[in-house]
Amino acid sequence: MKESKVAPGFLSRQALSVIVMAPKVFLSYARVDADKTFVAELYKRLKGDGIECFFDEVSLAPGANFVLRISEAIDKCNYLVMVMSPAYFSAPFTPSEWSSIFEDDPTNQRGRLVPLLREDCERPALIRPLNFIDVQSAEKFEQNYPRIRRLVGRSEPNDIEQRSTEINELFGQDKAEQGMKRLLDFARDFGKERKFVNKATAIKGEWGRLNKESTAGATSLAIITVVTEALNLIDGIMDNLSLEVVR
Amino acid sequence: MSASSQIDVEAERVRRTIAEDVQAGSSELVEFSQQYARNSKHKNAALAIKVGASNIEDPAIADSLRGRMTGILEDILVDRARQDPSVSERLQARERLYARFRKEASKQETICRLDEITKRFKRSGFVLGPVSFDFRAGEITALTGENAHGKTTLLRLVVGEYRASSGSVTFPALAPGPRFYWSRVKEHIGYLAQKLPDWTGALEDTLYFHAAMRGLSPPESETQVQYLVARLDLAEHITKRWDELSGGYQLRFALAEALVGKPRLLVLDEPLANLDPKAQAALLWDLRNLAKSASNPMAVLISSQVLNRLEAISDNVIHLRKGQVAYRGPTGEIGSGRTSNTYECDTPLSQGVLMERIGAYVQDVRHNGVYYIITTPRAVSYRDMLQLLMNADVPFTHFRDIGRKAMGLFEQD
Repeated sequence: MKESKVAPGFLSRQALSVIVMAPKVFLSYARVDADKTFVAELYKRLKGDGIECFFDEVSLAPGANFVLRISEAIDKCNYLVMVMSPAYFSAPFTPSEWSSIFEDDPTNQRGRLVPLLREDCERPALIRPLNFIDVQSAEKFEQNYPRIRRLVGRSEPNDIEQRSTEINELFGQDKAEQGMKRLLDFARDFGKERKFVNKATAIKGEWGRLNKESTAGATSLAIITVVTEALNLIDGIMDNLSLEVVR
Repeated sequence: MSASSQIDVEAERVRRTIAEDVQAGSSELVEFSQQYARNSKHKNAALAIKVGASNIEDPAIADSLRGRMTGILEDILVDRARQDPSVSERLQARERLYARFRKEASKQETICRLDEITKRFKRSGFVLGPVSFDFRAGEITALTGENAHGKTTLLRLVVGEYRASSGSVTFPALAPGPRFYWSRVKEHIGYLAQKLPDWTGALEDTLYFHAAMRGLSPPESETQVQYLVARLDLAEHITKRWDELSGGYQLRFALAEALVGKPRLLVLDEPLANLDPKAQAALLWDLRNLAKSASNPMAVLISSQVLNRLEAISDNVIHLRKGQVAYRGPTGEIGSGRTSNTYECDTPLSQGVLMERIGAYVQDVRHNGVYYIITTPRAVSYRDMLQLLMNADVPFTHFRDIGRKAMGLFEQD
């Protein structure tokens, strides 16, 4: 190797230029064959959909300092997809991959951590509360792939499908408070008539009152009614728009 | 296994779980409905039960929920067997709707354009600019810089409180015609000054008053005011007096006032200053969602010192240094054109000793009052620097790469 101007032990400039683009999605997995095959497929699919991924098999040039590159890729990624299996949680380096994202946002509020379950396993206590996406079989993967793509893809305010799914997911993840707020935004953005915004406002108000009350059984039933109304309102707004498309 | 018997097997499994445990059953029913339900009503009902069933203790209510869930499950199965043509028509209509909206990319019009704008203050000799920038709909721009480096001056130029010494402020999306009516443009600008004016009278009345001022019809102002009260979580405080509100809620009410009438440009001067970290995060996420609206995308300009939080939600950063633009561009590209790396390090060593140990490998070491700021050639990465500190026997308690963060912009000052 030619002598560089930096101190001994430092990398050459050539090695530093290996990664130019900053991938949006970091694929974190145990480097065992079964998991690697799955990740290769996932990488191919996401790449096909125009989502840039860091997959060490492909993204690392031979001879690159992989610890350094991986650490940089994690720093720069928007999302970290963790492919969970028994091997994943016994591998020595995977905890440092997911924990660096986890540290910034322990409740995964921003959803930067995307856990996929490839094989049933005992998950660490910190990870257990997070919702995962089931990819244990080829069918499940096919079925859930659109959700993965949505989670790691760019969010477009105008994507009505994504916006409605987002609200459903917030409710499914016990983030009803945020779900209600996004419902209001949805009604304001897509409700052709004023009545939709008024309805959403009334639902949020009712939900707020119920949540201040005790968590007695009757309240639970009332909450179910309000949430049903909220979710049906999204469908109502979209049906109303569909009618217009037909006309 | 054929498709139909697969459903039957799964349905049986869900039935059993519902009988055993309401909560687990509700989760399984949600998954089942997501996969098999053809009518979204069933999906919605299942999801709503999951939300409400989180802590049910009353056995009678648990039983009634079990009954409801089994009912939904059977309805889903019946629905699939019936092959109702109207259902598939509805699904197709939904797909067309999705496709239509996916194709319509969100508008990225320029709301406000600064063109080589400057502002001179004769008495102090302070000069701001020249600054050029486009504020586009749906984008959040963070305005950073130390105190008295021109942030508020720039904001006041944007909202028309100052007249520029040279250069121009234009509003391409708001005043497209040849004639410029400031009164019309001003209607579309929401501005929250650093020091909020006190409100007098009932809070709700004040919001309605501003709605009327902006020319909204009574039903429209009813809709908008109630929407903003719900959206910004003001319902609990609406009956209070202004001086009974905490600083955070005063800010939220002021924000609601600014948002009435759907402004296209929202300018906030140091909105985070008096908020606790949780309230800061909540406000910024609300702002982000409100800015990135599909029907009324806003250009948002926020000045603040709370960099790391602002960085997470902003699309662009303008950094001012002594009135000059030190950086402007996408948040993600801060530091991409840098020629050196900047690190923050905390060590008990004196500057002299630190220089002695690592000075040969770095460009500069100085102390900013809290940390040592180490500048190195760009080729020296985080990992290299870490190794160097360890090899040189430098004990440290804090080490951070700030070259790609807005924080790093301050350290180049």
